[in-house]
Amino acid sequence: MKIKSYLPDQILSNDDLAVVFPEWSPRKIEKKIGIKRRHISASDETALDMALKVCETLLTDNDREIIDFVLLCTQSPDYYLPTSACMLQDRLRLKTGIGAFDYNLGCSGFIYGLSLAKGLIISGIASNVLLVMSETYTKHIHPLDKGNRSIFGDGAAAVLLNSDDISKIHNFSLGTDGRGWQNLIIPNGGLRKRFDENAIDWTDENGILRNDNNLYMNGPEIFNFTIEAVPKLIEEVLSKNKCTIDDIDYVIFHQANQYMLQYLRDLIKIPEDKFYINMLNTGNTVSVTIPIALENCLNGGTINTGDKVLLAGFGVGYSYGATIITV
Amino acid sequence: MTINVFTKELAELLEIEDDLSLETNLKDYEEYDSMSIMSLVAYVHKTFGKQFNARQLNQIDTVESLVELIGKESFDS
Repeated sequence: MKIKSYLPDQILSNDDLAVVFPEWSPRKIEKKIGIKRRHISASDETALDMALKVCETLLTDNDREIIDFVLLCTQSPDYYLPTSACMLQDRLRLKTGIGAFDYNLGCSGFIYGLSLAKGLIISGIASNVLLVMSETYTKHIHPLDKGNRSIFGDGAAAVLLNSDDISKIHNFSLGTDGRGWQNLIIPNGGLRKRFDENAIDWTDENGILRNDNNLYMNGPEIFNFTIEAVPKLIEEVLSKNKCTIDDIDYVIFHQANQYMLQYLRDLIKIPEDKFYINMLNTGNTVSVTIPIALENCLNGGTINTGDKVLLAGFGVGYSYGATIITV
Repeated sequence: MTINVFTKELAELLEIEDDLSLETNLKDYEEYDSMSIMSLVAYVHKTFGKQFNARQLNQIDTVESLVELIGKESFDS
């Protein structure tokens, strides 16, 4: 599996945050949520721009010839329409006789992308699928929302999948629970509630400022959801692949925040030495965290050819999913 | 678990240096922020097997209100 990630140049450190929010301790942010720095997209750099940049580093001329489907996962598209994937096809100079579309998912996006790519290839609809995740959540966040500014960073990642790669992506377990739709949301800007340039700032129970044009996350409710859903998800994906956690060489969850990951790891009883936690220099990049982790693990030798790796993503929607791959 | 042990563990969890009593109002402490509430969600689930929704969590002010939410029957006298 060819995989690459891209992180924008600008960095927001915990010390930078402490200048804006003196009551917010850099040490506590690092200790609790496991983040020291995040990369922030430039004001004129969109998810499509970042998608283009990461694909330019991934693809050879030959790859551009053979790609016959583009899947782009983003919740920060350039436009309502057209779908960014069409513009990406053009900017990458890919063939016109191919399929391309965006899909709107967050933290579960990479898992769903793998499932879509697998379906397209197994059914014979496509042979070489370019799967791209690109996200600029930081553009959705109120400048005085210290919680979300501490957690989220921007980034993009791309993988190229062919039939050989797909044969190493095993069975999936997917889940949806739309009852949690209000707990991670940008209320304004769609057609239900239009973007409101006069939106009023309000302070939530934790003293965090935002308005309805911005990203809102109800942290405790999201945590409650993961405590309920993720252990079952892992049990189910192991069962669907007829194996136990002992048969898995390494586990990569969506890098939501360190505290939550440690708690889920202990709850599910995943050994510490086969569980990835590293968001120190990237923050939570939504659908991009799992491919960043995969790339790091492959480059750093944490996982090696033949290893079985369990991947799981969960969050906004609520939407969740897991699969097992052989690298 | 006794209330005494609970208040000690709670202070450590929330990184509050003062000794906590049932009357202590957690909202008076700067340390009681969204990151600490996340720790509290995990602690209460692990220790008492209970989960609270955001509305219930928002209503916590004194240590006693937290004890009542968890349920006094969960504590040893």
